Amino acid sequence: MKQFLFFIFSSISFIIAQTNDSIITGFVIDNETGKPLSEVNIYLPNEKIGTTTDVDGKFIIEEIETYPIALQVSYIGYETINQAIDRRAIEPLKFSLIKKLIKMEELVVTATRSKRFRSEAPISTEVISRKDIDNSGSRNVAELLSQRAGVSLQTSVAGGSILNVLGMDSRYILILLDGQPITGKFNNRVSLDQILTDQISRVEIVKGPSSSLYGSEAMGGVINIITEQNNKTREIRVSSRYGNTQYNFNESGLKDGSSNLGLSFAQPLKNLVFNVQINAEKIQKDKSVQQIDIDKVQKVTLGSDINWTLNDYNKINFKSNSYNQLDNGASKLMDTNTEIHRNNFSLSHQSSYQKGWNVNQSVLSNNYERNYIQKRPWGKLETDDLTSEKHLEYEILLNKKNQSNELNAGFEIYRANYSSDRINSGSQEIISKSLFGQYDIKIKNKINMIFGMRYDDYSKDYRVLSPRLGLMYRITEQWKLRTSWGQGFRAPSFLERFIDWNNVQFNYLIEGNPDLKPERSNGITIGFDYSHYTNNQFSLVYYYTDFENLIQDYSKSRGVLSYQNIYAATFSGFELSQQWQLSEKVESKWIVNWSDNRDESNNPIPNTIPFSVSSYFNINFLNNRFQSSINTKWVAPYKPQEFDVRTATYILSEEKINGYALINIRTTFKIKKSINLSLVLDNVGNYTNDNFGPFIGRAAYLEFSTALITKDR
Amino acid sequence: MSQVYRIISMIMILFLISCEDQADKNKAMIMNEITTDNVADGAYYFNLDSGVKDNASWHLVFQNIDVPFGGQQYKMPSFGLSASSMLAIDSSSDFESIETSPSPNAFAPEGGRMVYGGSHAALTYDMAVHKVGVSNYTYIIYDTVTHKVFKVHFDEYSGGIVIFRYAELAAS
Repeated sequence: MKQFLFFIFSSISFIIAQTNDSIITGFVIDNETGKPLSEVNIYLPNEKIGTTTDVDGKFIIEEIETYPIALQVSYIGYETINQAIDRRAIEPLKFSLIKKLIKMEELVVTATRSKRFRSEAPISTEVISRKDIDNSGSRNVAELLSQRAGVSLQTSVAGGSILNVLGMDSRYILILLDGQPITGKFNNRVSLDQILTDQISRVEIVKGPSSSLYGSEAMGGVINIITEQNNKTREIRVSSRYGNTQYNFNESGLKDGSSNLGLSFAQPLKNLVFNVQINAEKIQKDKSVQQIDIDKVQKVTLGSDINWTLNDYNKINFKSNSYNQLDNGASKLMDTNTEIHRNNFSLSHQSSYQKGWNVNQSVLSNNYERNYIQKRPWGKLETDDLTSEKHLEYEILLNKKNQSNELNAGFEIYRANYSSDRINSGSQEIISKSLFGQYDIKIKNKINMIFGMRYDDYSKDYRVLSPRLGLMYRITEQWKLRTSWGQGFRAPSFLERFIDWNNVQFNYLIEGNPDLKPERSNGITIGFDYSHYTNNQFSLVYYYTDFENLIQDYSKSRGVLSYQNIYAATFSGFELSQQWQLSEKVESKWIVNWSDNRDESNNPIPNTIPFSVSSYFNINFLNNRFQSSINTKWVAPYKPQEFDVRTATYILSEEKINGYALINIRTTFKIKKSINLSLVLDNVGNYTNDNFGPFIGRAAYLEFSTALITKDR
Repeated sequence: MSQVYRIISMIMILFLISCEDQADKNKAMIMNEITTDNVADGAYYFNLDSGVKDNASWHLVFQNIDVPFGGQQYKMPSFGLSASSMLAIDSSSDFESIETSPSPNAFAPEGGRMVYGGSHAALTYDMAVHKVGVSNYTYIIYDTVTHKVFKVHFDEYSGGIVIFRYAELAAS
């Protein structure tokens, strides 16, 4: 009955509208499916007015003064229609939009903080898609990224691992989760092994300083891990995985392997869509954890995403993510337990206004807690270190877009509180305010320029201005030149400024330096890329980033270590990549990276891998029932870092690590339409290096997944 | 009847002999596991013969020593031997399988080999992960006063405390 009344009302509205010359009405459908398309841009370039279609694909434009008019219908992923309309049109206008052949085209958000097709983004963005993630066989983001050329994992001097991206320590690369910095770092770095691949939809990588949009830490680039779910149907997805390293298998057989269980659930309810994801992982006596004297690791994540479409102009999104980790290690002398809890909540309101204005307001609350306890088996408590971080943020983003330009501007304010037994007074707090703007202009469909600027004010301790300029020149429809220049910075961490910790065992003291200045970077990228929508993408990028004021620890006085800004360095390199869909069944992707990183004396920076190649080859056969993918990575010989006991500094080793290859094979068998069984063999060649990694030799995983789609929306 | 007594006597003798052999063997291979005190509380002296902590008569000492590091001195945990002990290093055999003493000319004064920074240091410091670890060598210690020989293996170091195992070896 409701639908009938709506139909009558709509019809009357249309009839009334058509009798009025100053109004035009119409509707937009998908040419292939015939279904209405909502939020399609309807624009009159001469009159500079426009609107978007409603949920039924209908639109009305009022206040038209003269005819004929030029009308433009555009929608992401579809061919744009340009049409002249005269006043004699009495029927509602009908537009059938044709989908672009976008097999290899993705929407990206990181380079501009608004959705763009990757080929159209003025700043070059690399995407690791969900399909790439599935075919990689990786359990977490650290494993996923380390399969890529130009990325490596090194052992950290303070425990755990350091991810080097393009030869840069990961603390100079901003790691975002859904566009927001991750609260809770260990040794000033995000622990990427705490982000399980099961919960993410894609990863975007932007090279070059990007502090003009994101502020601190985006000195060398940005990695944005996106969990966005776009389920439009009720869906239950279950996956289970069992893995075992060769080492472990020989020692303990099946019982001490690693297991992972994932469950995701999506439920659309009229204007509401719920997505819930649960993932539990247990790692036992795996080499990766034994390296750090841990016997067992348990990780549980619970994520939820609720989208509520209030009306055509207003949407509300609530997102939560809870991560819990428990590490246990036991020996005759010490029982070690580490508990990590990270809880993120965000509430966003997105509203659209006339003339292409969009406003997005968000409130974010992130809490992190890490409790490290060491207890003797006979009951004596040796260590009880509790570190907690609280981050409360409000941000407002304004976006105005039309055919030739786009404006993004925003304001962020947050309060961050850090408390730890290892810092002065036990607790420190900063309030940061940031203002940023970015203007993107298209000139004659040939040139796309971007100007960005951000101002950060950290509790009046630091004030940093970060600009960025970008240019994309469309040489032909397929070939593009992209170049960008930007400045980045990293604000000193709470630990670097306020640590006050005495290492009882070795009798030295670490003192923070509250006068540290932010580390700064200044970098350019320039490159060409070729993109053919259907089957081929190729890019060549040169990047050069100059770092100054880098923070380094030093010996302040006898038995006292501290931090100071002394170090400068340059990071440069070429990256060549190609993604090629040879046929419906065969796909390949490869990346070649050359890196040349130098310190201020022009000496090579330790741990820089000068040359690495990664490739991915995927083939479907037997009517897509079998899918097999091979990931390979070859790392050229490089010189690692070693400690010089005479000078108590880290130096470039004289001895090179020989080149090595890592090969992972994943084969998936589709048992039924939505039931998959996969066998993954990691590090087939069983290459290990106990000092510098990789630490885990050959490993095998068996994975089962099924998707139960019960009802269309 | 005397035949029966004779057989019983022989069985008894054989039993006693076998018990005696076994007892000797067990005595030679009694494995002791020792957990030291925390080195941060002061030096720890241990007598392998008596199997007790003994500040006056000892073979092994566990203490913090000054180690030069980048032009400065830092305290690092270290093991050492008494002046009346001599040392041989076995890096190839499994600790459990060593049952007899090596030949006398295998022994030499400790000479700093076992202490921190020595060629066969019992405790090492891994710069990569900032962690103290134990070596996997077997230390054969000869007491020049009692002429007894002991094998020692360091199993674990954690927060200033060490677990080590030792046993007395039969003469070669």
